[in-house]
Amino acid sequence: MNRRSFLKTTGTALTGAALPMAVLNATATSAQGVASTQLDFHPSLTTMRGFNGQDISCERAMVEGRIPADLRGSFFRNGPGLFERGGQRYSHWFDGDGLVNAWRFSDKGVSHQARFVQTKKFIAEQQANEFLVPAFGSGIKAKMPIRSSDDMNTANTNVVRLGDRLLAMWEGGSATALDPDTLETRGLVTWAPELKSMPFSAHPKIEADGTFWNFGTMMGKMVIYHISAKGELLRHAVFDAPATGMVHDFAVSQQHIIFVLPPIGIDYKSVRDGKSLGEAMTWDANAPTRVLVIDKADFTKRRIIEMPAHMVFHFGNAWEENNIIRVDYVKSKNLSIMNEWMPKLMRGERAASDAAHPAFLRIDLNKGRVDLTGLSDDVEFPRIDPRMVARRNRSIYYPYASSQQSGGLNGVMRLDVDSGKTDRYSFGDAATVEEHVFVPKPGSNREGDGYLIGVGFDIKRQQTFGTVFDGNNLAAGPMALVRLPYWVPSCFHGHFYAA
Amino acid sequence: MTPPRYAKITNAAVLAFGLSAIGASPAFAANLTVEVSGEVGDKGAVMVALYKASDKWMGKATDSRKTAAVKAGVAVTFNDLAEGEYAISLFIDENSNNKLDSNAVGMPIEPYAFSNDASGSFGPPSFDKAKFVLGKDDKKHVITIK
Repeated sequence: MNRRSFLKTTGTALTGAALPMAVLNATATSAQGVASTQLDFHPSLTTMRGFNGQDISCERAMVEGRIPADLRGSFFRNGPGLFERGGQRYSHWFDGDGLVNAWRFSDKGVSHQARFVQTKKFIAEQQANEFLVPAFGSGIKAKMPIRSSDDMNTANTNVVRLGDRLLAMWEGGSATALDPDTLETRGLVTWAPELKSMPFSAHPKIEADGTFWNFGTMMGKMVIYHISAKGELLRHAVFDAPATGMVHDFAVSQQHIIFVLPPIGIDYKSVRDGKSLGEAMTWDANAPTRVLVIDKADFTKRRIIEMPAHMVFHFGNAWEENNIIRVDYVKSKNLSIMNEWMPKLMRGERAASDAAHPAFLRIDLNKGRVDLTGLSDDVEFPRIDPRMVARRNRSIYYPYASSQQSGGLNGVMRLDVDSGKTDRYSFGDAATVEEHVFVPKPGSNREGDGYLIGVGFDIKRQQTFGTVFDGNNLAAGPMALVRLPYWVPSCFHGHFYAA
Repeated sequence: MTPPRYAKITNAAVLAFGLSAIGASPAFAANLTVEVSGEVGDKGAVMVALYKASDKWMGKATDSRKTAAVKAGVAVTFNDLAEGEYAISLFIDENSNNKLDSNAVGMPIEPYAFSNDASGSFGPPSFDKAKFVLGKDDKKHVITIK
């Protein structure tokens, strides 16, 4: 079968527990601040409608192509899954309640399950059938006491397995523990009394031996967490951080922890006047984006190097040699993707976003200088072979947009950092594509030997599908597509764990 | 949402309980009973601070009470109070260290509440939101820990 034509072939009978689309297609009733009983959603953005709060599952998804016999395990993903209640619709993608997905690859086939994280917020709002607490990008009036940021915690950004639990993570507060087998919510994770309700970012970095690094920023403070593979807090530090309104991700090299801090301010007056935190963020194009380098062995050893203003959400990796650190991330101009493009998505409008490009930072610790280079591809959500975290990696995997007109990510791409060569596959107008993660082939220890798996949305069928690519040959198209008999809200991030 | 507001709750609590009770004893006085219900728990003590309108709200309290936390709820009484506007700030000192503990950014990590079950956003509510009037008669005011 021609892999490239997968999405054009007509589907055969679907297996599994298909929910009627009528149940899933929650019609948007009102956008925050916009009277829009019928938002005219572009068909490529259906997943942005969100669910009503219902969980969903499918025991056996339809597989097109062949799932490799050595691809067995659970692929966990997390993203905002609910955007409206009681006629009120969030204006920002980041605001929705966390819906954790598990795609389980076994000898019996592939199953799918998605469950809402039972946060304090979700439970209270589900009962009230209205939004009760302010959200990141929507100025919801608080109708219940806000004692800590965990009262607004949506647990909606990423999911990782640590020890015997899954952690559903959000940027502004604690991680929420879930049962890996059932996705049942166990509760908030507190690492130490003085760290209760402290931010635990959604982008931990996990080294090949399981060493787990994370951070949080809040109110001018930064906290660093050093956690063992078993999930015990080994060390932590809290210190004053350079002022910035948002720090989403970071990188670790062999000996350092690296942050890139964009010049984002927060206009607290407009927050007090009822604006959301996201809406109150300001961009100071004349201020520097700061590189903060912290010694992994001694958190008090920190240095800052400045460069011209630019924005970053996601990092691929970092590694160092002879006191020179190399960091890769995805760079954009300013906050426009977050503050202009994402609200359009939430209204169902397909629009070209400001581009986000691969960026490569060279930090010379001897000279105290940085150099930034980049490529012109439109990408996001960079991932690497998990065995290469904090080591010299050769490949970076990104979803990419095949053209500015595509209105979003519609393909996957591997970049060879050494040669600059790329290997890529595009679904064209047929599908949109989410983050893809690299799964090493069991028994192999060569970087890049394995599978690239992820999730996409078939625009014509209005269904979500999983993908399996040969990591060494993306251009050949997916080895397998795993088709769900329904669509699920788009996710942000996740991880695969071999059985 | 400005940083100092967290600190304010903590400092107020510490200040309030650093004081000995200074009972007012005007000619016409009423007793105020504060009932604390909800998720009181059975660890440590419930620390109740009483403010009158002329006090600096969340600063130095007029009077305070401390009583062991009991799951079913607790009640404390302030006697012989003059007529006027009052407000209550309370917290549960779960680890019995006589202060409202906070995390590394100064956010309280022990339960707290205010009269009228008033709440602020990332900080205490205003005195106006928490105030109630005490007349010539004895009064009971219920606060729920959520």
